[in-house]
Amino acid sequence: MFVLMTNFLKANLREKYFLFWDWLFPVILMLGIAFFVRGQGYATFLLPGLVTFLLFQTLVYPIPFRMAQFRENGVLRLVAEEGSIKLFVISFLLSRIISSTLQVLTFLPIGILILSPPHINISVWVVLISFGGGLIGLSGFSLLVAVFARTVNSALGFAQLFYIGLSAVSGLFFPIEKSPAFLQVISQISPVTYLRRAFQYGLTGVGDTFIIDIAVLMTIGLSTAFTAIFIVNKELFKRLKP
Amino acid sequence: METVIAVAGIKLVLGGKEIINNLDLVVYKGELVFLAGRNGSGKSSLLNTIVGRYGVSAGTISVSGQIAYQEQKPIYLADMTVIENLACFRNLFRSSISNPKLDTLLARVGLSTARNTNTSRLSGGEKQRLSLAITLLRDRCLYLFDEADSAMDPIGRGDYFNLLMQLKGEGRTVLWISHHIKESLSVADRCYFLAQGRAFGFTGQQLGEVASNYSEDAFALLCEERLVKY
Repeated sequence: MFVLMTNFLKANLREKYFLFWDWLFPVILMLGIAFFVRGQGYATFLLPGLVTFLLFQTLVYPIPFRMAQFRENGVLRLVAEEGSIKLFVISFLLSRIISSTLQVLTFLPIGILILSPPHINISVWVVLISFGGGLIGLSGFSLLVAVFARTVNSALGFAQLFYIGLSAVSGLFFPIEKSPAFLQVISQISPVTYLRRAFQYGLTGVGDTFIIDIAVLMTIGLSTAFTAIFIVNKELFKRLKP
Repeated sequence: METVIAVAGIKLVLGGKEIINNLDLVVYKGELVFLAGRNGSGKSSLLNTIVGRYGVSAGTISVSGQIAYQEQKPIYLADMTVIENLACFRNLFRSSISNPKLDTLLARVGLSTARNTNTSRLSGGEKQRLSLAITLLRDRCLYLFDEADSAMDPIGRGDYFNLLMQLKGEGRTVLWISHHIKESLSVADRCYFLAQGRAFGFTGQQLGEVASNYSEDAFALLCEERLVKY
């Protein structure tokens, strides 16, 4: 598993598309936002939203993209027929989780430095739990997206749809409490909302629903992960096998 | 002689179109069998049927032993180097092949110099060689190659057909599709020509005659003669 995982990690670093979106885009985004809100109260609100946004982006694009690429190239079928598809999928997911962890570890301090939010009250344990919950939740969700994406183009289309849609309804860049009522209802079914709230509590100490947020996030995450694994199993183990 | 593939009277219909009808084919252990035919004659469909991807609506197929099948399109992991690809597939196939043997395998398919090259920088022929190496990671008694030489240059094809001879020398059986008829005929023990949904077999002697005085016309005439007789 180690060989597979490290080679998947290296492959991600060699892909220009991932290099830009994983490592360059977050810096550009933070610099652009900091130009307008650096040191202001809004920066305090924005920081957890940005961390959530970046974590979401590091999973919801690459997982469906690569899985669709493996499917299109015939790799998934070959592995399902002749090798261990479980080992393949788990190694790939772990490589993405490691990559996302490195990104968040890199960009969280950079974000604090660039945005200079006036009110920061970091609880390491809460951030770590939120991060773990986010990884499980969003990886499962991204794997589910990957299951339905047959081609690289459709994978990017699905990812774009969820990325923009869920980012818009989860209060990442504006307080969801001040948005129209229907948006507030929709935000309740988005896992990104709960992750944002959990990060908000962990980074700024604001909020009183952390336990509920993490519980809901883990429930959504685990249920989507299990659903994805069930469908992946059905798809790859049964349908692809002769 | 021990039979490794026995196809008897199969009928294959895909998307409402009859691809194969009443096709018979036999491959014996240790043989090199060449499968020829025009585009769309059902060669790839036949290999896919033999490996079990397509179900037949009539007839029987029996295969003894495990198959390693190389598809027409090279299969490899993108953005990894050649050696990383082999290391990954070795793990996935749970192969016990050692690191030095991976290098031997690369030398065998003529990819030693591209060992640390990213797959995105490989030529079409090199990608086919890599796919060939990945196929050979699986230690099988029967190999099926579907136009594994289509993008290779003449030297690459020479290496490929030498490799087929080596596999035969190791007691393995190979059934392959190629549009490089001259080279294929020069190493094949037997040949099947697919047309009209059927396979027309040629003996080694007939192939020897064509191969020694080779011309595309001679082969085409031989195939045509068979079809007319049929």
